Amino acid sequence: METLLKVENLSKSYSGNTIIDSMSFELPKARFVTLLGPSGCGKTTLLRLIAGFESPDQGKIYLEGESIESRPSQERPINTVFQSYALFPHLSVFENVAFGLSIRGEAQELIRERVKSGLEMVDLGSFANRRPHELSGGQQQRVAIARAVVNRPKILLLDESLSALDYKLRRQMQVELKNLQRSLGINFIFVTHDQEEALSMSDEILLLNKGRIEQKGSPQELYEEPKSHFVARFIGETAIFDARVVSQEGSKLSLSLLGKTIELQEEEHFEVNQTVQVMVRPEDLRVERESKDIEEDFYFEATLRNIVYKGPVVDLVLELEDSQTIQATEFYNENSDALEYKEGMKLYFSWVKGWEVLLRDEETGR
Amino acid sequence: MKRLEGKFNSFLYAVCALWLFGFVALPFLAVLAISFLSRGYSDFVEPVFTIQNYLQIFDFVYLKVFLSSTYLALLTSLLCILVAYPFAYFLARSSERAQAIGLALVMIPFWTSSLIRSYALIAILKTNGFLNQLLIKLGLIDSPLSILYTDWAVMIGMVYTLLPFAILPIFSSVQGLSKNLLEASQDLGATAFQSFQRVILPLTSPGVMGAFLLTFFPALGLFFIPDLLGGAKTLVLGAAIRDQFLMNRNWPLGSALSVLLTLGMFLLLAFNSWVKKRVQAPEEEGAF
Repeated sequence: METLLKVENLSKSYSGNTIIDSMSFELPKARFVTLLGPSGCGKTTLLRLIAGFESPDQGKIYLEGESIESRPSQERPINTVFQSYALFPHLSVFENVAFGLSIRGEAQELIRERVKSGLEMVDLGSFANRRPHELSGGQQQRVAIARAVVNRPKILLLDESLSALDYKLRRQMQVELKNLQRSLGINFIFVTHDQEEALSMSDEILLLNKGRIEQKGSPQELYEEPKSHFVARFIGETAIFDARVVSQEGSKLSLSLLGKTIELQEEEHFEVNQTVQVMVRPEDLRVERESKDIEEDFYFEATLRNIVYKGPVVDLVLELEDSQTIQATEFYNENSDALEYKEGMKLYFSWVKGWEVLLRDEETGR
Repeated sequence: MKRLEGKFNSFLYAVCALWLFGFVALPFLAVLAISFLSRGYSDFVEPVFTIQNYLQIFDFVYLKVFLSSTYLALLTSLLCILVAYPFAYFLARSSERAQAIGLALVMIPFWTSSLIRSYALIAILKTNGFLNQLLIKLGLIDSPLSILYTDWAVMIGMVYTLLPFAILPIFSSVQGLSKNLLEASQDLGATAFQSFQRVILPLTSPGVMGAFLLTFFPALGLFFIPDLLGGAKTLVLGAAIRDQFLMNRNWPLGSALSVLLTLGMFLLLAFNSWVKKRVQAPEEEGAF
């Protein structure tokens, strides 16, 4: 696929603190990309470097093969939707959206036409003469999007643009943004710390941590094949078990886990006695009241500590023998055992073999 | 607690209202009343109603004073704003430490009476004063310029005295300007000059208006500067009012002139708040 944006060895630090640590990645055209990470991970700084509000200490940024890191922001075909929207309070909605085109000296006729279609695109056709402060947060957000999009940028940057909206409006805007990106066919780079938002909107997620890329991939890849503890913990809930390698013969791996020995299929090579972590998503855990109901050839005991009802599913908080707690998610229907679960009950759990993710031991900070 | 707080608030409002009534409303009403009375020779005023004072204002002499005074004040304000804007802009955009130092430097002259500072200006501006000596030493001029007792000296004195009143409102309006808006403007393709023209200037215009009001009105009334530095050759409105009260002992005419000046201020203030309402969105203040 054709590369639109390429970042090479990009670094940025402020007064000795490294914010972006020699980062490199490539993004193909027409993608909805999310920069995801906890606060302080460098996602906003990366966005500002791409926009041109900051200049890198070192490294290159290429847009369609052209190096742009030394170009000022106003000369980059990139537009930004700011977290606070940053609408010009002294201008009407129309004038706000027309700002970029009018700066470029476009003909009045063209400006009128594009602003009109831009405002219609975000459903604000009848708001052209209002002032920004007369609009709701969601409407201001749409004006900010229209103001950026009418300039037909190659990349649209969105800096935590939905975080100021309430839950319902945010969900609605997520769908609208995704549709907008598809219909415009340009790259959206969206910054968020909300993993759910990232999963539901993105073609591609760059998960950042401490100025580095922890993992880059589709939402499915990040969720199902996390490459590190950080990724597994940041995206969704995960039960993590410490285990020790007993033996490995071909692809048969024996692990000692919670006092039992289980056998898993594993292509990767591990050393005997090496400690590893086994990660299982809550919805992949199978919980039963009787050990004979477990379909797999292994199971563990746990005590049910808490039942969290969530409508279609129920979250079971299980306490293991080593007093670690994990979470298991069960679908909640009328035939479900979950109806009869009581807090303090002994339960048995296992998981479908092959659905776990094995990670070599590393500093987990736990 | 709540009730006590409510009572305390009412008390504070009452104190404010009383203060305003005693020190603002009452004196103004007295001046307004006197302006409609006749001139008296033994008691300053005679309680006989007349509009003669106001008719007298439209006399050629006072119209001339009014015009020349307005012209001087306008020019002073304009110069103050031109000098203050770049200074205030860069000060508001610099580090907090630099801001503290800069503002202190702006405020320090207030510790000395402006009358004394005007005398100091005489020492600087006179024929063999500091300024001329400096210019000669630098080789810019051969013989000293006569600056003192000209309109130049008056203008220098006025701008010097009123400059802080132009810096402060512009400074605070630039400070209130969100960095985000400048970035947005840049992001949309604006050069530094275009950003200034289309975003910075319109959004700091309330500060500029404030600077204008805070320099224009005092400039109308600052009579000692034209007296000291201009050799009392130009009669400003403030001086005319003073003369009526202190020299001609024509309190009613002085009062009528004062009322006129106050009325003018009121109209300009009303215009200012109208402009502000148009430019500033109520939510924008400190919203970022």
